[in-house]
Amino acid sequence: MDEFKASRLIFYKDDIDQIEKVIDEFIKKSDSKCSILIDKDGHLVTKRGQSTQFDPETLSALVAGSFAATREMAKLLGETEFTVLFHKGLKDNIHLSLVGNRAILATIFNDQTTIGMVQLYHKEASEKIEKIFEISAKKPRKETKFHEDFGKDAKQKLDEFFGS
Amino acid sequence: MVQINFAKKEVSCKIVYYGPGLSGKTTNLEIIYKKAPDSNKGKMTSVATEGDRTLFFDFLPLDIGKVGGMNTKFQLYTVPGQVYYNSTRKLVLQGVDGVIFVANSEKGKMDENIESLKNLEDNLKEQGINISEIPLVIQFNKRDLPDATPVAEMEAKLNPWKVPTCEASAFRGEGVFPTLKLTAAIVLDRLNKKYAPKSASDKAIAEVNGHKLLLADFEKFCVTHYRLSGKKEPPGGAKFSRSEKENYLNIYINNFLIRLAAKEQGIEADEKAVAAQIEGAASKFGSKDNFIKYLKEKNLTEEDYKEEAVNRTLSNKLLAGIIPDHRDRISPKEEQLREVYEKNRDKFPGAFDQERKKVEAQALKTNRLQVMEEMYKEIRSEARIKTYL
Repeated sequence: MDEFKASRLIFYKDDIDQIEKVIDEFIKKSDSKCSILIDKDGHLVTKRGQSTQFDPETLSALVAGSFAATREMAKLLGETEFTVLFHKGLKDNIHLSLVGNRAILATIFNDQTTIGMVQLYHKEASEKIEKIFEISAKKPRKETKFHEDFGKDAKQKLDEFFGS
Repeated sequence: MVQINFAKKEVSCKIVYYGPGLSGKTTNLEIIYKKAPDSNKGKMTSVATEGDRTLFFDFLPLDIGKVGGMNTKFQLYTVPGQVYYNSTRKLVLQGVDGVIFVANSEKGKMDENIESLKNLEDNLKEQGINISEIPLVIQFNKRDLPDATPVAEMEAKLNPWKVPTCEASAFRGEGVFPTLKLTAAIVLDRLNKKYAPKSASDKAIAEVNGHKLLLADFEKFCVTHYRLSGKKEPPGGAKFSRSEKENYLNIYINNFLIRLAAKEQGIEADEKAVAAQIEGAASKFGSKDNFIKYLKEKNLTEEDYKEEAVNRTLSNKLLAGIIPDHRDRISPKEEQLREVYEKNRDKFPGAFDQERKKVEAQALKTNRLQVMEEMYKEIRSEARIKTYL
């Protein structure tokens, strides 16, 4: 169980390739601007679509934070989780939905499309990504190791960055 | 929880600044934001009240660059300190990889510090994390205040786990980087231990009866042993040839086997015997002070010699069991004394009776070594030894 929990935040290249394909297709179908996939701890997993002004890492932290907050709201109301969040802006809107139990897909779109379209294809994309996670968890893995110099490098980098 | 993204070759760690209200968590983040190079930092975001108190969290992404080929990032968060924001604190704490507890050194704030630390412990426990197991660094902040609580008192009241601590005056920008550096180092070290293949320092130099002897320890032993032998160390440290290393490794393994055998037989190096060994060595230098001075000159400590003294004590105790007639064999016979004297006349120029004591000492040493060698051979005969020199 611990091993499973610990391995949840490792993302492998073949999975990310597949996930990116799913997201690209979703963006095209729903006519959205861009999408980012965020893990539940607020770390960015991947970003697809048009490049935009915002800093994706900050957005990831805020999205994960607000999702965590709504989860508490849900609990207070006797729900287990609110799976979808939507914020409407003047120009751009953001749609957030849970993917499985480990990630959040955030999509930014404008009035080129409608919330209905986004929601429809979001659901489809979420399910596909969830499936990829499920299969991934069962795959045997080769690339689970860092470079052997990681420890040595870390010391050097920290000295460089923070001063020794 | 650290995100490892092999697709993007990226590692992302979450570090949370925790502590009571107004202890300086946000100030820590502001200083980091101010000091970090532009290319390494993202935007600093604060979800704050109008009165500038943290409501949800402050956030600052930091990118320290490539470590072992992985782009390494730290996501820095602060929590709101005020007691009534506990639900938001819990949210921010989710998936945390390292905690910096910012304690307020201001006089009269100790209770708040203790309460906040207890709150951290409880909130971590809710996530199934034991506070003594997560990378934790305690920062004693506001050291610039004239009536700051003494560090010793803060240490005693706030650090029962003996985690690393850092003194700081975040307001003046002092101690902020060192605190984060310390925490980041612990977090990365964890990752390294978990995900990197064994590096040189974890490499074994030998395996003895299933026990791994580490290369790093052995290298330290070589240097200590070299210094103890009294040889002059060349500038830049001693270098050892292969045959010297082989020789040292033999001694190293012997020492290990002796300790193993002693443990099995319930034999201990009692302090009295060890002290007697040290005194014996010191007597050659006239006094213990002289001896310690000598060790210091050789870059050694009394502790280094104590290791050796323990080895000798244990060897002596084991000897009786393995070679029962060792006393008889060590004390030299008249015949041997004559032989040693005749063979080493350059060392013993005087008449035999005059030189008798010195001759005896040399013969004793030779015999002792022989008997010891025999004991080591005996112990080794049953040991499983693999070396990787």
